[in-house]
Amino acid sequence: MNLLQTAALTLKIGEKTILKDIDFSITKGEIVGLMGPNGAGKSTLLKALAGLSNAHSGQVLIDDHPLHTLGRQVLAQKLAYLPQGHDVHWSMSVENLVMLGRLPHLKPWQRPSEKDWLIVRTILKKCDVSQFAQRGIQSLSGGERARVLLARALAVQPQILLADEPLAGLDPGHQLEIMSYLQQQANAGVAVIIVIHDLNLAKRFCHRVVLLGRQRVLDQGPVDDVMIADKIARCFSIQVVTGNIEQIPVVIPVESLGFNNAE
Amino acid sequence: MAKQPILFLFLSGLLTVCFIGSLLVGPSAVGWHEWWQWLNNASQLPVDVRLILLEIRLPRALLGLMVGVTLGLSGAALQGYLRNPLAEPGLIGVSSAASLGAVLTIYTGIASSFPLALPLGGIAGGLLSVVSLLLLAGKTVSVLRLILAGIAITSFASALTSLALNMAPNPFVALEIMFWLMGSLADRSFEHVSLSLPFMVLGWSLLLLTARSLDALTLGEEAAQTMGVNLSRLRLLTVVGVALSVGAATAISGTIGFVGLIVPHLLRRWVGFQPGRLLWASALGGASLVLLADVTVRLLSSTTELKLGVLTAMIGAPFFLMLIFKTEREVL
Repeated sequence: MNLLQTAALTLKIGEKTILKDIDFSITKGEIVGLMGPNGAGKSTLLKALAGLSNAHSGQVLIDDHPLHTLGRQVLAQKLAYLPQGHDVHWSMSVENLVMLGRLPHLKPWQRPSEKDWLIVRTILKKCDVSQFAQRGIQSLSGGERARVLLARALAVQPQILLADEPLAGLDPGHQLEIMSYLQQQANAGVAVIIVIHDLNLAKRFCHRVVLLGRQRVLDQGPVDDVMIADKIARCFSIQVVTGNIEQIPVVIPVESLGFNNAE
Repeated sequence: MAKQPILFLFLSGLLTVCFIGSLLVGPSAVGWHEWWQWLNNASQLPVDVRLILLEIRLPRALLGLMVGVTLGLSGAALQGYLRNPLAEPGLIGVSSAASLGAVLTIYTGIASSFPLALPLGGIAGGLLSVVSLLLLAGKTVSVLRLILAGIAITSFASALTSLALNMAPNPFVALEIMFWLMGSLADRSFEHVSLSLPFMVLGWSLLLLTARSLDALTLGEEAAQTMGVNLSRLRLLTVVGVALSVGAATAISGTIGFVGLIVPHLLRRWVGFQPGRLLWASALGGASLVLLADVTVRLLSSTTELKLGVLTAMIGAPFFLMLIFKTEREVL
């Protein structure tokens, strides 16, 4: 069964159409990569999936229920959204910040239980930030913050995780670690949708890929069917070389084809 | 986490000391001894002493407490909601509007024939400003629009207040308005307490309901929304909560500046930068600061009474500058 699905979803910002007739779906345990050039509407789509903007037409279904019919609390427990950027307004301690992820599960005056703290501590370790647990978030570097904010989203223990460029600003080691942690989450049954620019990591870790461009879905399907040279070329206007090095798929951009040549 | 109960005990202790201090200090030599006598056998006290204790000192201390809680709590709530450490309760225009309402009762002379008209006028001004604020800022959740609407209301109300001063029928009225605007807790009665308490309690309750949402808002509006926060509800709670309590407080005491700005800032570190926890801490801290300032005013005053609002502004302004420089460094 589809955990999340869109039906002829059209999104507009003001009068401008951003995306038209988007149909896609995700089931438990999948990692779906949203890819496309800048301005293709990846973030807009992700926000609509998170219930942050209203569809102009069409709809988003979660567990076959239209998104807007779900209560805020119910939605907040099912779905976690990790926005782009690492803005945090007050220098809360890392531990308390990640604990905010438990808020959707607490009643208005209920304090976090021992179980909540256990969940938070486990996630802090997994995201490799437990050594900063007591430090203020604003004293951390960009990459460290990115990991803490991912940990906050994961502390919700969502069924669906929407992450807008969770790898931006991370060093290669932590990029790999975060991706393999997302893989673990997917193995545990979470549906993960991420906006990702790294072709290699996308090819290696995503199960399916959605290529967005020119206000629509250019291609979507299993990663091996979609992330092939000519489809990537069409989407990004680049020439790529694909292959395998020691059984690891690689996609190397070679040359820009110029943005005017894009189909 | 373990720090919280200690902070709570410390602030409650401080508040208790300041409250008792406020009951003991005043121009007449009435203090410990008389309170002790009152506790043991009230009927033996001379009538004038009883009057000082129960009709002058007690309401003044209670009003100090209430005004302080209001300023601290609403400052913390606004800073949390706007995610800006420079926000203060007067920002959304309620204080100026409440001042205007009160000033008009002095200007028209109603206040001299019916003393309670002054706080009633203030409360009416405050309520009017919430309505205008909600109309001006519309249904959008835009923080910028809210601030701009607040600035517009503040300027308009201040202009009308100046006009009242300008057109004052005689110098005494102008002087009375000037003195009232400086902010004070002197010569207030239990009627002031019972008049303002319902508005303040209602305002406080609304503000305390925002705690969780303010915590979530630390992650930004979008993340907060996906965590179940209803932004329009949060805005309504904050604006109406601040307006009711600050409107009532200003109606009673005039403008007492900087308390709502300084107290949340001083305590933020001690609640681990959690905007939700800062609410109660700021309420206790604000009450202590206003009571302390009011005791200081009474100790320093000899013939001419030093106004409470003047004292808080004199301490507050340099602190505000320091805050600006510090924030600048943090941003850089």
